[in-house]
Amino acid sequence: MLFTDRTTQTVEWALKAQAERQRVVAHNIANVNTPGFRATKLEFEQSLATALGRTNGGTARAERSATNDPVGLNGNNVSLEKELETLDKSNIHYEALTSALTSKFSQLRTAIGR
Amino acid sequence: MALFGALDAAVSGATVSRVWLDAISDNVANVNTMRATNQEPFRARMVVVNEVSRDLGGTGGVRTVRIAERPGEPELVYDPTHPLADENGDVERPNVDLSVEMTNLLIANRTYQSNLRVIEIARSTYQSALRIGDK
Repeated sequence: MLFTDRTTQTVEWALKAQAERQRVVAHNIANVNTPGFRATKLEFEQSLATALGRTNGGTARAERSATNDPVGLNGNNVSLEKELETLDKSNIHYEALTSALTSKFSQLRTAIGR
Repeated sequence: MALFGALDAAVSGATVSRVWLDAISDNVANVNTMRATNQEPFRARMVVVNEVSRDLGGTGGVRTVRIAERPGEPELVYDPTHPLADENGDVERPNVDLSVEMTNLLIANRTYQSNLRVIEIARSTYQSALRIGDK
């Protein structure tokens, strides 16, 4: 059970989800001028919270869906400000998660006397 | 799902913006390139782009499909002293619209910068991933 405890698994899952969110945002920003392109967003916080709330275990999933932002004249609906905000937030979340994981490993290191 | 996928998508976006900037600079440089009426006029270059799908493990991002030329009949200018003028004294003017080009220049420039910002943030994320477990 050394690396399969709930904390490690949850943090790892959240790290993956944040990284995927950043890929989605990068894709949206790369297509900020592509005619007809529709932006998508990745959501998982709600699902993760619900899964963690269950005592007998649950499955969290990250879902990609279309944003409902207004569509411009060229059929594109990427909102640059929103995307950059999401990216910045995700980056900070990612850093918080990595330091949580580092703390967890540091605890384990203490436990094994190193 | 590629390692450093966010970087790949952002780099593709920056590359497309640069291709667009190149096309704009070509157009502006040729804004006064007159041609004889029996020749094809200089036509403004337009960059045609397409989304690269993220489905089925695709890398995502954007790519240049081709460089197209702005369609339309060439505009004739009466300039009988021009060395390329035909028997009516006409020469063909390129269909470059400077106001369009300058607007596109701003958009392409800002798009390039936005993609560079994504690269900066994505790099910071990947760096924090590399620090996991540091004492």
